[in-house]
Amino acid sequence: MEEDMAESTTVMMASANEDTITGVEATLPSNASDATITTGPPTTSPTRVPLYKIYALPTPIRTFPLPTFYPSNPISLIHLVIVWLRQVVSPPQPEPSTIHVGVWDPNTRSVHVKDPGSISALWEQGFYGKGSLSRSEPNWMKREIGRRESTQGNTVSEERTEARREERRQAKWERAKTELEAIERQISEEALTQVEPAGDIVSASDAVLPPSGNSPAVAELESPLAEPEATEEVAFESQPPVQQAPEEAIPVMPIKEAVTAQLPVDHPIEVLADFSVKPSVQLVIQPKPPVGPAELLALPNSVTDLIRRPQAHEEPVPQIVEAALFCRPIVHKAPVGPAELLALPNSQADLVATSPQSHEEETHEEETLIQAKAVPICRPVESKSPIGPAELLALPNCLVELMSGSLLVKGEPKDFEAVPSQFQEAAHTLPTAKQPTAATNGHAGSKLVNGHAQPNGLVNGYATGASACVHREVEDNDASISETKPPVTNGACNGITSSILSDPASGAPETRPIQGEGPQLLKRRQSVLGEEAQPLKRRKSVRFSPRVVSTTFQHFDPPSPSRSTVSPPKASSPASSNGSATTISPPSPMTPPEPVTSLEPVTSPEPETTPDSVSESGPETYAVLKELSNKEHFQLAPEEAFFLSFSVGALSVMDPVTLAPIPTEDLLTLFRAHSYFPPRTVDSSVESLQPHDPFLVNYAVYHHFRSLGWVPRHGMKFGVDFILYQRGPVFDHSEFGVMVMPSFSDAQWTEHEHQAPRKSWSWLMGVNRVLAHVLKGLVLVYVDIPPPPVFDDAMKQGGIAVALKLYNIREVMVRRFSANRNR
Amino acid sequence: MSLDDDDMPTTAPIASASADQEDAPTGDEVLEEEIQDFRLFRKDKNISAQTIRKGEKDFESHGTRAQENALEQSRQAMKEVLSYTRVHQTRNLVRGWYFPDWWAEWPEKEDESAAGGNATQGTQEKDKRPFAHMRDRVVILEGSSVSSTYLGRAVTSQPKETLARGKDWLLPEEALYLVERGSLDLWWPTRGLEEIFPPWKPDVKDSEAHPESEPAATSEAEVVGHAVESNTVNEADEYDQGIPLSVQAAYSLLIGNDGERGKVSLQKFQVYSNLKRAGYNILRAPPLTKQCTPQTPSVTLWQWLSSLLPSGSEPQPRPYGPLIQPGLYRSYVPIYRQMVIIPRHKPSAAPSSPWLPEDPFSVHFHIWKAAPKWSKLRHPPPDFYLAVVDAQETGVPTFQEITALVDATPPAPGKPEWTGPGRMYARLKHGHRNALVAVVDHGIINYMRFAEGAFGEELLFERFDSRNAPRSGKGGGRALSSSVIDTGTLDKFSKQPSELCVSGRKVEPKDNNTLDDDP
Repeated sequence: MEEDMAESTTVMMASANEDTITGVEATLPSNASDATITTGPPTTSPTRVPLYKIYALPTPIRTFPLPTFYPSNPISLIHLVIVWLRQVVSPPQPEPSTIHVGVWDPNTRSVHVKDPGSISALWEQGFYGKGSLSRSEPNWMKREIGRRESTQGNTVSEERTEARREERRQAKWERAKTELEAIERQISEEALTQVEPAGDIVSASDAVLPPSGNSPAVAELESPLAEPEATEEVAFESQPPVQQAPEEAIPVMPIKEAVTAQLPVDHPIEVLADFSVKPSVQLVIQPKPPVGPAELLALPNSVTDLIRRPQAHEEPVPQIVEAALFCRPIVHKAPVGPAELLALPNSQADLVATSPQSHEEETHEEETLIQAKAVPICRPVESKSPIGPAELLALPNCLVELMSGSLLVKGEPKDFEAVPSQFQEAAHTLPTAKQPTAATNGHAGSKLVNGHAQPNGLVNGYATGASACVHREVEDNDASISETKPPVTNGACNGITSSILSDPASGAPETRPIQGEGPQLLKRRQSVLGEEAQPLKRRKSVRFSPRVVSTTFQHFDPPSPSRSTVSPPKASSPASSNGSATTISPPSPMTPPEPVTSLEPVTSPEPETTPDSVSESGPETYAVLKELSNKEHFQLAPEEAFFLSFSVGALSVMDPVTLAPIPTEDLLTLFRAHSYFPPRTVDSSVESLQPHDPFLVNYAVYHHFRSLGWVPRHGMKFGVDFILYQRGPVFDHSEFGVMVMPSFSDAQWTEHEHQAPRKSWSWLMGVNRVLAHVLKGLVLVYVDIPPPPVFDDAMKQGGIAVALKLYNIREVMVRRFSANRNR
Repeated sequence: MSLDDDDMPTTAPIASASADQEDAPTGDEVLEEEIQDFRLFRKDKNISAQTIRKGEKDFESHGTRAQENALEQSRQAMKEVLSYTRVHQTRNLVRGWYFPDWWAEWPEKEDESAAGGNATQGTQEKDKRPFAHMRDRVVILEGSSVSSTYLGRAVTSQPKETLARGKDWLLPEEALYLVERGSLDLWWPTRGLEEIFPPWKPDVKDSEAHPESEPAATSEAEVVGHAVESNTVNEADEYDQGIPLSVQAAYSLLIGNDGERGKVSLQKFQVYSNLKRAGYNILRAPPLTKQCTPQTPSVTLWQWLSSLLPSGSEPQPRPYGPLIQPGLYRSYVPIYRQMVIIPRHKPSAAPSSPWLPEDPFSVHFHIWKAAPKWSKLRHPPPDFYLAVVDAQETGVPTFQEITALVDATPPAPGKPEWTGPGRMYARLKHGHRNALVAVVDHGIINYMRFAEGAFGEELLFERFDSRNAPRSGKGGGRALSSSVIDTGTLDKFSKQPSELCVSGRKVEPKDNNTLDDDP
């Protein structure tokens, strides 16, 4: 209702201005001509309105200056007379003509303005509020439209800022890149100059430096820095980084092995010369078990290092690997040595991060080969539940990591039903970690790869949260399959989840291979993965614990409401919750394993519900976008609202309940009361309103600067109370940051020893530093506050207009003085 | 390193190298707060610091040999610079004796009269000597050195038979600073002053007791040479008169609490030596004189009359607004004038605060930039007024403290060329009076400059009426020229000939009949 009123007045004023303008020359300072623009949102006409016209009014009051009289131009006199006569005959409406309407909101302690015209007008006149949906200019609507409908032509300032930032980021990136390249060039040049004289030195350094395990990984990392030949070579070495490991281990592939074995022999000097530049980087050729302290220190710190080293596989190729290949039971030793402990993976991320490469770089031959080899492996390997410290460490540290893996499954749930037979095959033939990848149809498999390849993406809440339930279901399927082996569709899921879940578990025992058995790691994991069904089955025991159900579920409650409505009932089903519980329980000593009830088969409605739940969240409802309502609202700070209302009279503040306008006197009391928290009540108690109410002190400062023509704005962003603009953020940067310092110097205050809390010097230095960083000067504004009796007298005598005269304001400019600069 | 950015490790070698002329401006504004390239030092010992440029800063080792070499060279250069052999020239070395109670009974009043009472204003006349602080002077110098131009003080106009007449006496911070620099050999006397400095006899060492008031003005080399000679002669019985003191002993003797006679607080000494090493000239500020209560600025008859005029006609603002009367306005000036209810501070020549500065927020040191003709007796008004506070014991000054401190300094308006709207920020930031506060936090000194701001002097709203006109540069708009007759006077709403006053005010900032109608 009020909005309509405001609109109508605006329109009327606009028409009135039309009349005024007609005779006036465009070159004259015609403020009136700007009224049409300022009252409405800035129109995006083809000819751009200059900023000084949009932001013409320093206050919500327009002026009607008479045209200038030029003595040399007699027509200007006529012009002047005409304008003057017109204004006499039909005077424009008395200013302030537009009275904006706002609603007091006690919760945010601000006055909400919702009318778009008022919002833009207030913004353009220097009232910025405490925040709105927009970052700077209130253009939420514009942005939304631009965002949702047309990607073209949305020239919102935020977009431009974003584009500029992107540009700058790009430039920085380019700069860093060129710098890096320069360094690389430098290194390679230096290496070149070093190579010729350094033939002997290299070998010597080689002898001196203990052979440590991390070299290939480092070589790979350093490869861009190395000189061209060396780069090629190293790259070649590390080219089949992870996946080749098992391959090389297998004696079936003699050629590649030969190649890798040859490499260091062929170009030893170049490679070593490269590394002799930096003694920290060493290349290992013969993986002897590290015994000395130097060697131990040089050992890789994580499995990542291990996996990346292709060379370490050459010699070990030991019987153990073959044993794995030939289905002999593998006994996992608990890692005891310090090196082994150091080499333990620190998190699942290490392990997961390594796997994508393996999956991606795999060639088809390898896959088939490994499949063929791997199939027989699966059964006989016995995997023990983790007992040793290494294994415990290697267990996943949080469920999120595990969950993240299962996201992959969620993506194509329907396919499980769609292609059951294929998955059945997959379930049978490919139980190891590789199998999903190798699955020829492999929706699930490719998903898995993707999911692994982007571990970062898994962090986002939606993904993890949303995947939680799916994950559990899948796991249940997996359990059921491992026990009963009936449903076809579960096979694929089984493979995937088991691979994910067993990664950490299997990774632990394999950390042993630091002593040259590196290649075995991957192989071992792969081989174990298939078998993980068994241990998982055993760990399913927690299934019926309701406590675990509730706690685990809450963490993964999906943020999107559509999902949350679906998933809770699912989570409450004991079977689904168990899946995740089992994965958690081993690492955390808090949840003791409960009695084994694994024999109970999981009912398999789960897989059917899974696609439903997933598909529900999938499509965005585009219908909502169509009916776009302007959600922009402007939160005027109390100081601004009171200035508009008390000083200018251009704002009427409504009560939130009754929607009746609040008189200014009550508004003052309201604002004063709400400057405390909890808001004080107006009574005569000690805790009643005082002359040093934060609102009053701040308002005094605000009014002081505003009445001088400055544009104060709340300066929370810069750690100050206000920042002062000369015209506004559109035109200039603010030059000053204002800190309000209440002070009680009156004798009556000192009698009662009422003092403002003393700020420390470090506080001042901090504020000053921050402001100096944004090129602003600090102004301490001391507000000397009148004692209560004087203030009350003044309030009785002449209201707040008289009482404010008692506030004494002194600005103190603060700057850091540098003794070195001022000599 | 970046914290104590003012303590450049290289400043000391430079200072000692150029000890001959302490006032020589080292002029390294260039290397403000950053590490300079030490390698440039090595090329030339006498290199001016101005030519040393900073290199790019590497934040991590990127493994190139070039980087390592540069680092190594720089280290080597720094080592060389730091291992520079410092030479204490004999003409700079003097011996001082610690006599803490010699001037204890000295009547300060007489001192004051000798010093000239208006030293606080920093505008003492040529004849007047600055306040001497004789009661606090505890170290007597044998002979004089170059630094006598800057340090120490002798009591003049004493009878000829006075003991140690005309000798320079040092304040504790001065003595300690010289001891730390290695220019002063401080001794603890085991005999009385009359034995160490025997009464004046016409035949004995006439040259040591200079009849002139300024010992430094005499030929120093001769004096020092004489002193050295006498030292070698008296080598045997030297230790009969006293024992030399270590730096540690000097610290324990001269460092004390605030307010102790003959001692200086550690914070003040740190500030003193920091500024001294940075090349400033420092003197202790004279004690506070009882200032008369700030008188209200005299009002001329015209001002008084004009003040009567609007007060009668101006309506009282409505208690709860709106302050701006609804109506038709031709310009923004009357609109903004109606908003004025909070009194604005108007800087004036006379100090306006009713409070007197109290320690620690009072001026402790007067500071001059290095200048070739500066001497401890003849110098211009100080460039800076400095208070020293402890960061732990004090906080940000209160209203009374800061106004009293700032008002204790003379008015220091900005440069005269800072006129017009273009230099408004410069005017505002400079303020009208200013004082430095050295915040000492356990030896780390941070100087803050507090200036009396006067936003009330800059009435931004006066520009609002003209700012909406298109710029003269853009769009072919016409700038308002001086030939334009302001039609605002025709307006019934513009009550005063305000625009004319405004233009007059800009020319003369001190003029008071501006638009402000402060109640």
